[in-house]
Amino acid sequence: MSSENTAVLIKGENLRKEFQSRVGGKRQVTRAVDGVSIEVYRGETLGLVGESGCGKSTLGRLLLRLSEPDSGTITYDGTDITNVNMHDYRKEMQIVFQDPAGSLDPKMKVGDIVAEGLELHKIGSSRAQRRQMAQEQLLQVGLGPECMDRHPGSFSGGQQQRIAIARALALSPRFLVCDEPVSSLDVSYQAQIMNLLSDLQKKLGLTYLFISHDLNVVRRLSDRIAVMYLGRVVEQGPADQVCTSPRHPYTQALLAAVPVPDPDVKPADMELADISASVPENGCAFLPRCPYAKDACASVKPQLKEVAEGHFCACHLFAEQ
Amino acid sequence: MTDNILQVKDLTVTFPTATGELYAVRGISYDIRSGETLGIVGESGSGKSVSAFSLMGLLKGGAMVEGEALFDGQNLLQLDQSRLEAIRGKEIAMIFQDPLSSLDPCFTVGNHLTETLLAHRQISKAEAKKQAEEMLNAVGIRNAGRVMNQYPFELSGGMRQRIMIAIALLCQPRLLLADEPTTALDVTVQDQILKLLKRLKDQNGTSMLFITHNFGIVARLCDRVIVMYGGRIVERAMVADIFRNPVHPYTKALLSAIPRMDDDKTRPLPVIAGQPHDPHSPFAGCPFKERCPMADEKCDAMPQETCIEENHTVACWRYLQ
Repeated sequence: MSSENTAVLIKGENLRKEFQSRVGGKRQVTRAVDGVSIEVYRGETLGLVGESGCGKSTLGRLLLRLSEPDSGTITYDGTDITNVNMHDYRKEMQIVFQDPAGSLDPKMKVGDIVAEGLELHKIGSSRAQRRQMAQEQLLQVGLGPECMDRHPGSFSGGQQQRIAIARALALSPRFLVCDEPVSSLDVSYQAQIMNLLSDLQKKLGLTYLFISHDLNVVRRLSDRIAVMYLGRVVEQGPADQVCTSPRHPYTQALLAAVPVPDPDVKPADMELADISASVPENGCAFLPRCPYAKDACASVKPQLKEVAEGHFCACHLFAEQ
Repeated sequence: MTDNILQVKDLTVTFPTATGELYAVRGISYDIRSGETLGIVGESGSGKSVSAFSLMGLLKGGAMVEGEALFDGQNLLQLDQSRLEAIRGKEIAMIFQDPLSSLDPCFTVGNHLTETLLAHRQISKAEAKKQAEEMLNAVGIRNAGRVMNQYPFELSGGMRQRIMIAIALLCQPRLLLADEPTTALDVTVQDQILKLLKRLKDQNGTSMLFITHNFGIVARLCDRVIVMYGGRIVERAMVADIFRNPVHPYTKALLSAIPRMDDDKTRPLPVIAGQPHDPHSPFAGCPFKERCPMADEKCDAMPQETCIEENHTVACWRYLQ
């Protein structure tokens, strides 16, 4: 890879975010993101996988500062943006959400939805010009000009996701967070949207953070994959390496649990324990479910260590290597 | 055949809507053999869930259900409410996609379980409680005594789905209708639930109708599979055959649109072009015609199902001799 390729576009360092809630009158603190450092390189797709509640969406929102971190810094293109006014940076970074129906205002026309960002950022000299620009964006995601004056409710899920992508791209961002963009879609739409996202990336040189719980989807689109478990990144590396030779027991379990569309493949024996036991305060968060746990796991939090070139894993099993 | 636990004949489900009639199921027939797991796969709007809900008399919105569903020589579609209630939950049980909305937030887990038992069995409350705890153990819930006193919101998604399965199995039903029971769950939890269902099926010989959009789950759990599109059955086969030799253009397209761990990332995922079949359309021909690469004028009429090998039929003019 050339040095330009590997240059970091957006970086989060030591990010933390806690949420407080009350369950049955008791105050509870959830550490959604618990000291994560992550870098996304220019032009790449970093896949972020993990189960619900692992903090992957929160991490995506922290990088965009849609949610403010409790501590840590965010650097975009060499500039610390942790405390700046985000207005100027919104053009640079956008997000596509999981549920397209919920993220599009049902009362607005599609053309106005796509043009709204242009208006807020005073791009284009007139309404007519902004409409023209919106129309071009829609065309880019495969929707014709006849869509401009329709309401989002009259489109299918796959088309609604196309509208959401057009809206995100209207401001010509460089960084796009895709938060489970295909999870609510049927298989046939899922393939269409995945192809569209990778075509757009090639054409526009976009950088993606692609969040999903579906490893098959993430592997297909990502150059690198980061695996999160309870607020921490436990493994990170080149996509194919993480999928074919996963190191962390959690990644192994995740991969083993994916049902394979082939009746000759027998389900793997690896089965995780339930998440009933409490997580050790100082040890590895995965300890209560890990089949390979040893003494050190209860007392020392494992840090990310390089186990192969560009492949990192936070697990005491690799401590001696 | 006498060893069929359920025989569905010419099932048609139509909903009256403001924009005209919605044809959800357009005349399908199938049998569930004793002890087998029959999978129904299809995308949203294919009619797969509606066809199961209609059997249990659970459809709302003035649905018009026609046809026959023979269970023990009785037509489920003709039974009055009280006789249907005697069968529902006892002989035929159902588990749904979203366990949280299927459980009453105001009742403890114990209430849910004992209520079902007391409704169908002449037993004391103490006996019901004992049986309920045994069933919780059987679905892999440890410390059942404590869980009995908890409310649904206190439990994780996987636990809730286990509770749903426990409720469904309490009266030892002969037929279990499962409507995407693992779709809302994380992949490791889904893995546990699939293993649980498989074990329970092997132990008790319960017949199962398993509705899903995930071919991976079909490969894991089902013996036979029906592929639905636009309210019709387009193909049915033993599970091994549907993967080895899919013949309907829709089945083929659907199977190839699934991202897999071993596919070539550099090539775009094959997609199914076009939009899904409009359920309002009164079109009586092959519902896949608009999206089928091989369609011609013959497809304006719905083809009969043809047998192409043992236990393998397809509804496509290309295979109709």
